[in-house]
Amino acid sequence: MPSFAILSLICLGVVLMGIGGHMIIASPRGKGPLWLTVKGICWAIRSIPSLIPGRDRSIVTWLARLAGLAAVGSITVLALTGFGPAVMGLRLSGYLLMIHVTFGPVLVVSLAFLVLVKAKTHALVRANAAPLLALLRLPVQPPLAPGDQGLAAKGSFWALAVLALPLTLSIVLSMFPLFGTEGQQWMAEVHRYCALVFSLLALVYGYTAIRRRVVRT
Amino acid sequence: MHKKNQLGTHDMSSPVFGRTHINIGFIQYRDTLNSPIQTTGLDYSKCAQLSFFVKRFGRCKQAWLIVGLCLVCATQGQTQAPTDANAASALVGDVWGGSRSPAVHRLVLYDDQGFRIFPGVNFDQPFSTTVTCGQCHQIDTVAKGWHFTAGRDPNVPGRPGEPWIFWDCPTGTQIPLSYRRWPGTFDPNQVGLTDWWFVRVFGRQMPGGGVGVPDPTVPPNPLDHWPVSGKLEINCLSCHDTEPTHDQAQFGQQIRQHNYRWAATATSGVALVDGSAKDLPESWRKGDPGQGPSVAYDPSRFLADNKVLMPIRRAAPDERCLFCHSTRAADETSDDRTIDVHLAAGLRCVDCHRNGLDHSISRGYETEAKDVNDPRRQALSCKGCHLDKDAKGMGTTRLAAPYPVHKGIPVIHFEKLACTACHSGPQPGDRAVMARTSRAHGLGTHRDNVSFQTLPHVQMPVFAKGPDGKIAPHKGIWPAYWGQRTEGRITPIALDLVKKVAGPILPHEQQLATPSWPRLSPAQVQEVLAALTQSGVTNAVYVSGGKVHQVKDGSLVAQDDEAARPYLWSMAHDVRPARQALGSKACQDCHSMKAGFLFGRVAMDGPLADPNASVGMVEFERLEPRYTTLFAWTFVFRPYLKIVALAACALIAGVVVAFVLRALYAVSRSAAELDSSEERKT
Repeated sequence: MPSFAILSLICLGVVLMGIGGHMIIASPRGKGPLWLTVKGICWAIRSIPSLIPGRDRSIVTWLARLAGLAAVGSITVLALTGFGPAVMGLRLSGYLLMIHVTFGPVLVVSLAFLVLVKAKTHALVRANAAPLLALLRLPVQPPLAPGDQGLAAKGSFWALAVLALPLTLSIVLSMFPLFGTEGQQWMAEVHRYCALVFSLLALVYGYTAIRRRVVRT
Repeated sequence: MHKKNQLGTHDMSSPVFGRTHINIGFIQYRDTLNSPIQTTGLDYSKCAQLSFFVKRFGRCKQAWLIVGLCLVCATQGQTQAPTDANAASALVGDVWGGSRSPAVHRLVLYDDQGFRIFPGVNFDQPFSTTVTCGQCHQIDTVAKGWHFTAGRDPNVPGRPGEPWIFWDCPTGTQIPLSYRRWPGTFDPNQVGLTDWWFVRVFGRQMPGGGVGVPDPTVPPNPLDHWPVSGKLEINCLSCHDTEPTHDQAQFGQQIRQHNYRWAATATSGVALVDGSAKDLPESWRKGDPGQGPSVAYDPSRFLADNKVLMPIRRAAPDERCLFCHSTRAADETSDDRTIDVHLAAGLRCVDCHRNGLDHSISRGYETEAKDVNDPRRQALSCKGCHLDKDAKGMGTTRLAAPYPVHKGIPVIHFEKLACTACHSGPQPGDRAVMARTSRAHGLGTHRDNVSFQTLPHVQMPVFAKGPDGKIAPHKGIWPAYWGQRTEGRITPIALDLVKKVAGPILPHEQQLATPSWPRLSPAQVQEVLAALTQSGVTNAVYVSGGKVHQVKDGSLVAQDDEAARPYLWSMAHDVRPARQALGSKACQDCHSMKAGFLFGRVAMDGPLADPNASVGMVEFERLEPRYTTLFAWTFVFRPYLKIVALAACALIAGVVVAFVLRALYAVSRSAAELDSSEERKT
């Protein structure tokens, strides 16, 4: 098995174990991981009507939800078509490549819109840095607002935003006559490893976002 | 014989031979006695002069000669044996001494019996290249070369190459032949061509040797004319002669007249050959009544010492190679013809297609080193010269060939395509064009019919997956022949039998306006197949236009069959410069619905083929047509994809930068507040 495939599987395992562990350790009192999972699925189903545009919400809200759904969908498809052949030791080609290339722009466009819309709510505030401030013996003021996303969600959000740049540019720029054979190989490697980290961060972000909503409700 | 005469005839002025001059001169003086070379049965190979004299004058004078010659050797300090590892067998011309100055070939000419030729003596005999050149070069070793092994050693490995195409208009025959057992080709004997007749048909573009020299182990065929025509021995001049009056077209001309033995002499410019052995009886021998071929040497070519100065070079000049290896595309004219970029840069054919004494010429394809188990061949392929560089990007191989950067071309292309796919042959159009090649059409010979309708019908470029799994440009023909199906395999029927049985049914040669396909109707084909069946051929079929036609239940049925698939052979020349390579302008050079590389068509060809029928290039490339079409279609949107993706990236980057700046501002403000509060406290 190629080293990238092994690395991908190990990283995926570690992240999934981390999420699982967190679900056990940090679940609300009397509510186990199963409860969290079922509630998460229920929340997702309940959210489906909110994808239909209505008078009760603005067009931006509706578009943001649509973009969120598109981002989740495209990440899933891209991860399956990208890592699937890699894990099996195959090269991404044929119809899978075409599907992969088709969903790439969907992700980057929806991600750009989400970053634009959600940046403010994911802006780090002083209270998010409480552990650091405590270490420096600095006062944490004001305290964390009740609706705050939390450091994990905010951190993974911004990491995703930053990582989207090399992930996208490594492929888009290789379509221009800028890089020779070695450059092309290097760009492909950058794309693969960025995609791996991006996918894992997306898992973390998804988990934190869903957990926050489920626990809040 | 060649070993033991090794010093007898070599040029005296060459610096390579050192102090052998005097001895050679002496021998050559004695040589004018023109005694035939005899073998004494003794091994004198360690002393060439001694060996030579013993053979010349027999045992009776051995004692005196031994004494005399040993004295000569002792006084002049002569050494006999070449100094390299193959010293025991190498002749003087086989060992490169180190001089880069070409050896001057002032030669004594010999006939095939070993008699010397000079004005007044043997002046009516053609000279023999094997004997003349064999004085200093081991012809037996040369005969192991790629050009000479066909028909004698079918197991020499190598990628399928250009076949000999046997064609006949009235019978609608166009069939690839090769002695090398390449898949898709047939042994010439299967169509009734004996070695002699094979040479008669194709010898025009052969360098002699191989099947041109009868196999003594095979009983003579009464249809052959070896006793009268003589052998078509290896003609060294075909490749190595730089004489401006060298006329290679004469080679074919003489072969047509059955003057095999005279062919090399006729090309040399040293003599004119007149007459024909064609109509002489099989019993005719030299000296018998009857007008056989005659030779008229040009006395002015003989120097004062009765030698002939022949401008022979080890490195064959390009024009010699091109006599047998030229190609013309249908749309190419003499004033717009192109030249291979390597030749334009000053390289020669032999700079890449190299060989040693064994004449095992490198063919230059990527997997050749593995095929022939010679790692040195790796350096003589496209990759060997161009895809090796040092840390500074400079080529490290032969002549530091330019390293291709291939900007913007995804790496997968190099796994799926041969270098030639983008760099070689004519630019692909919407259809493969007709082509004429030297070997198929006799280009440069006196019988060359310049019409592109002339058989055989060769098409190019056909982009097809090669034996190495990479797509490369090929030339190709659709086979057409009468055959029989035996145990599921189709083999051709001898053309003589077809003509004998089907002659009255098929159109006569003179009824054909051009030597192209005859107009054969399905009814005629059915009639011929019935006639063949009546003559004893079981399961008679006619292969044409990519189908096998067979009579079933009283009607002619066309079926697909492996035997009807076109025979393709890879083409590597002319190599186009990088700026004219496919993909140099845009991806759409190949990935568009109009691109000939993927969507060109190859016309189906043959007497029964639908004139409008064609096969898509993707089928030869073994690609899925629907996927290829869809993939090409996506390139319409690719520019928009790039714009959208770049715009999205710019937006994300803008937001990230804005918030980073805001965060920096917040940190700065907090730090300032902390600082001022601390100051207030103090």
